[in-house]
Amino acid sequence: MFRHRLTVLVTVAALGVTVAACGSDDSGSSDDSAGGGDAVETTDGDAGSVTTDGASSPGTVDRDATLRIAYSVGPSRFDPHRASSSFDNTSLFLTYDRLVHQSPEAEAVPGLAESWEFNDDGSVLSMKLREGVTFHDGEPFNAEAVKANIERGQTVEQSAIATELAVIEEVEVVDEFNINLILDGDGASLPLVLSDRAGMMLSPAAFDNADLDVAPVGAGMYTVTDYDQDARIMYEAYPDYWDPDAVQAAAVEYLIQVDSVTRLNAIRSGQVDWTFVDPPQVSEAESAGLQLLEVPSLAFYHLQLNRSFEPFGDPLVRSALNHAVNRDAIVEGLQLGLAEAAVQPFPAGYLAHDDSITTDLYAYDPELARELLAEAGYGDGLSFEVIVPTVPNITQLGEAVQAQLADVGIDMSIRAVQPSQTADIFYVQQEGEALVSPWGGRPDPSQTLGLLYSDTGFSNPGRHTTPTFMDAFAATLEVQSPDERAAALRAASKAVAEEALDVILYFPTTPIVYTDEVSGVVGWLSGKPEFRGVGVAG
Amino acid sequence: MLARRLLAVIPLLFIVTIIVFGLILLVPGDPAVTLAGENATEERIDEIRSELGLDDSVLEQYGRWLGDAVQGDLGTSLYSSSSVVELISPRFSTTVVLAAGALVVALLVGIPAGMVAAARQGSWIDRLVTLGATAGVALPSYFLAMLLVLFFAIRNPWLPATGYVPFGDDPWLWFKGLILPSIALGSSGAAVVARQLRSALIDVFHQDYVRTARAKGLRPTKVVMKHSLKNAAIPLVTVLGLQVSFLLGGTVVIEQIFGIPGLGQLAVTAVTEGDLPVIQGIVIVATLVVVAANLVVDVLYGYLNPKVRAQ
Repeated sequence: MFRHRLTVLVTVAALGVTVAACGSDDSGSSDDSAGGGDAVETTDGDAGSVTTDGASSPGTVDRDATLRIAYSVGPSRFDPHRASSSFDNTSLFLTYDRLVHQSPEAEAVPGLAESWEFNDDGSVLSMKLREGVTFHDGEPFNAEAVKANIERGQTVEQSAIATELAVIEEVEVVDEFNINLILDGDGASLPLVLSDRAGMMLSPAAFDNADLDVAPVGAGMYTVTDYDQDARIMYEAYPDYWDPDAVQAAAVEYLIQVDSVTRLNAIRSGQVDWTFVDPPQVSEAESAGLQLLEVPSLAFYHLQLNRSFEPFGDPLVRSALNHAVNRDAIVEGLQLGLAEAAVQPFPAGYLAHDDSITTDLYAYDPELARELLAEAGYGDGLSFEVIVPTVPNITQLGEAVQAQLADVGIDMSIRAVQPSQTADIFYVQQEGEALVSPWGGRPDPSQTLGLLYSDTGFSNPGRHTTPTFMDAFAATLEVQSPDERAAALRAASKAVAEEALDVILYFPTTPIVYTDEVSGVVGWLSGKPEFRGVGVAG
Repeated sequence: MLARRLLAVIPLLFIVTIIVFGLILLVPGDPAVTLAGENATEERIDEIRSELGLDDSVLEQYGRWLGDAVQGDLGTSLYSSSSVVELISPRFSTTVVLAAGALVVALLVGIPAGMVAAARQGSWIDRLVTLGATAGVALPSYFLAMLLVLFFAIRNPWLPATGYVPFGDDPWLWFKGLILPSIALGSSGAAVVARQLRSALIDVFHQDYVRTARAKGLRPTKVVMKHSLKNAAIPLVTVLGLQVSFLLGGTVVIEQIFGIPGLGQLAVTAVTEGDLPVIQGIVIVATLVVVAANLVVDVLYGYLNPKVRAQ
C-alpha cells in the first residue's frame, strides 16, 4: 500500500515538472532568454520604434522617483561578454555603457567612443574615447580598459561574443583616450556590432569577480543594488554618469514577469509604470486608459527554407511559396493588425530597407503559385517537413502557413520542437526542410544578411546562396562612406527579395504600455528598449 | 520502521535522477548552441561544448554529477554561475509558503463545509456545498486566479495583482500578497477536502458507536467533533498527502500568473533552457517533499488508527 501510493505520488511530482515544461509555452512569447539563436527568439513582444510620438507628458519629472518597469525576461547573466541572448540587452543597457550607442532608428551614434573612423583601406578602425568616465567601482575608463575588455570578450570561457569580435586582430593603445582596432577582414559592421553586448565595457578590476553574473560593474546609467534572479532587479542612479540627462529617475525597479497578462495586471493595478504586452491585450490596455506606443522592430517572422533541399534550390519554387502565403490575412488574423507585412529582411524606415521592393512583388496569388510549381516540375504536389517551436503564436503561424500552402498543393508537415532546441535542430543538425520562427534582427544589417543568406552563414542550413546575392553582400562588407554602404545594403536586401531566398512574412509591432506619469518613452527599432531619459512624474 | 523508510529514499532518488538524466538526453538540443551566442560558428559551439564537458559520454557526465551530488554539491547552472543550491533555496521557501497558504485555505474552507454538509445531509446547505465542491474541482486554478485579480486587484485595488514580498521585508505586504494566490491554488483542495470529509462523516454516522453516542443523549456537536471526526479523518489525511504533490505542480501555473519567483518558475526556465543541473536539483527537492509528505501521512495514520500502529 505504502509503496504503491509512493509511486503514484512520485509520478504526480514528475508530472508537475512536465507541467512546468508545458507551462512555459503558455507563458507568453518572449520568454526565450534561454533560446538558442534566433530560431527561438520570439521577438513579437519586444520594443523598438522609430517614433517618439505621445512620448512625453508635460508634467515635471521627479528626479527622486523610482521608475517601475515590468519586462518579460531578466539577463541570462550580468557578465556582458558571456550573456548569450539579445534579450539580455534590456537589463544590461541600464547598467553597462557601450562604445557605440544606437539611435532609436538603430543607427550608430557616439557612446563611450566620441567618434571613429576607418583608414583608407579599411584595415584599421580608430576610436576617440570619451574622457572623464569612471566605472561604478571608481576605475577609470580609458584605452587600456577598452583593450582589456575586447581581449576578454575574445578569449573568456563561454564567451558569447567571440565570433563578433573575431575580426579584431589587435587592439593598439595610441594614447590614454585613443585606440586603433587592427582588423583582419572586413570591418564595416564593427561600429554597430560594438553598440551591442560586444561593445559593453566592464570594469577591468572586476574581470575576475566570482559574482559577476549577478553583480555587474559597468559604467552605465544605473548601478545594480539588488538582484533576485528571475524576479526583480533594483537599479540606483549612478551620480557620475557622463550624460546626466539620460538618468531621469533615482532608481529603477525592474520586475521580471514572463506572462503578458500578468504584466498588464501589474500596470493596471498600479504596481508598475511601463511594460509591453502581446497584441491580444492591447484593447484592454487602451480601455484601461493607459498610454500606448506601437513600436516597429528589426525582428521578423518567416518561413525559412533550407535551400539545399532540392526543390527549394529552384527559384520558381521559392517564388511559388512566396505567392502562396497570404501575408495580409496572417497580419490581420494572428497579429490583430499589429504587424507590417513584408518581403524583404529589413523594415520600412531602416537604412537597409529598399523602398522599391513592396509586398506587391509577391502578392497573394494561389493560381500563380500553382503555375510556378507546375513550371518547376512539381505540378503533382510537393511535400516537406517544417520545424515549428512550441510557442503559441508561432504554432498558430505554422498552422496558418500550412493551410495556405495546402491550397496550392503543397503538403507541409509540422514537427513541433522545444523552443530552446530549435536552433540546434535546424541550424546545427540541419533537420527539417524549413522553419517557421522569428528572426531576432541584428545590430548591423550585414550580420543578418550574412547569417541567413551567405555561403558561410551559421543560420543558413545547407549554405545555399546565389552569385547575385553574394556579390551584393560582399559590397556591404566593404568600408565606405555611410551613404554608399546604405546603398549597398539596400541592394543586398533587394537581392534577397528578388531571388526569393526566404519567405519573409511580417515585422511585428510591439505595443508598449505606460501610465501618463511616465515621460520620455521612446520606441527602439532594435527591439531592446533603452530607458535613456525616461522618468516618472512626482 | 521510520528509519527503514528513510533509507528507502536513497535508491528512490537514485532512480529518479537516472530517469531525469535519461529523459533530458533523449530530447534533442544542445545548451552549447544557446551559450555560443547569436552569431555563433560551429567551431565556437564545439569549444563551449568541451569547456562544459558536454562532449563527454553520458555515463561520464552522470558519474561526474553523481559524484558531486553525494557530497552535497548539486553543481552550477549552465547559464549562470550560480550554484544550484543557491538558486533553489530561496525559491523553495517561497513555494513552500505559497503551498502552505493554499493548504490553509483548503482546510479552513473545506473542513467546516464538509462537516456542515454531512451533518445536514440532503438539506439545501448540503446541496450548496456539493455544488460548490464540484465547481471548485472543475474550475481551473488559472481561471479562478484571473477572476480574483480582476475583482480584488484591478476593479477594487485592495490586494496586489502580482509579486511576492518576503516576510522579512514587510510582514503585512507578505500576507496581502499571498491571499489571492493561496485562494486560487487552494480552491480545488478545499473542494476535495469538503467532499471527502462529507462522505467519510456520513459513513461514520452510520456506525454503531455513533448511534450509541446519540442514544446516550450526547449533543450533536459533540457526536460530530469527538466521536466522528477522528475516524472520518483517515481518508482526509490520505487526500491531503496527495494534495501536496498537486500543489507542487499547481504552483507552476499560479507563480506565472502572479509573477511569484518560486520553484515552479525556476522549473519552467530550467526545462526550456535544458539546464540539466538545475532540473536535477528541482526534481530531487520535489521528490523529497513528496516522500516527506508520505511519511507524515503514515505517522498520522498511526495516530488516528491504533490498528495501523500495531501492524
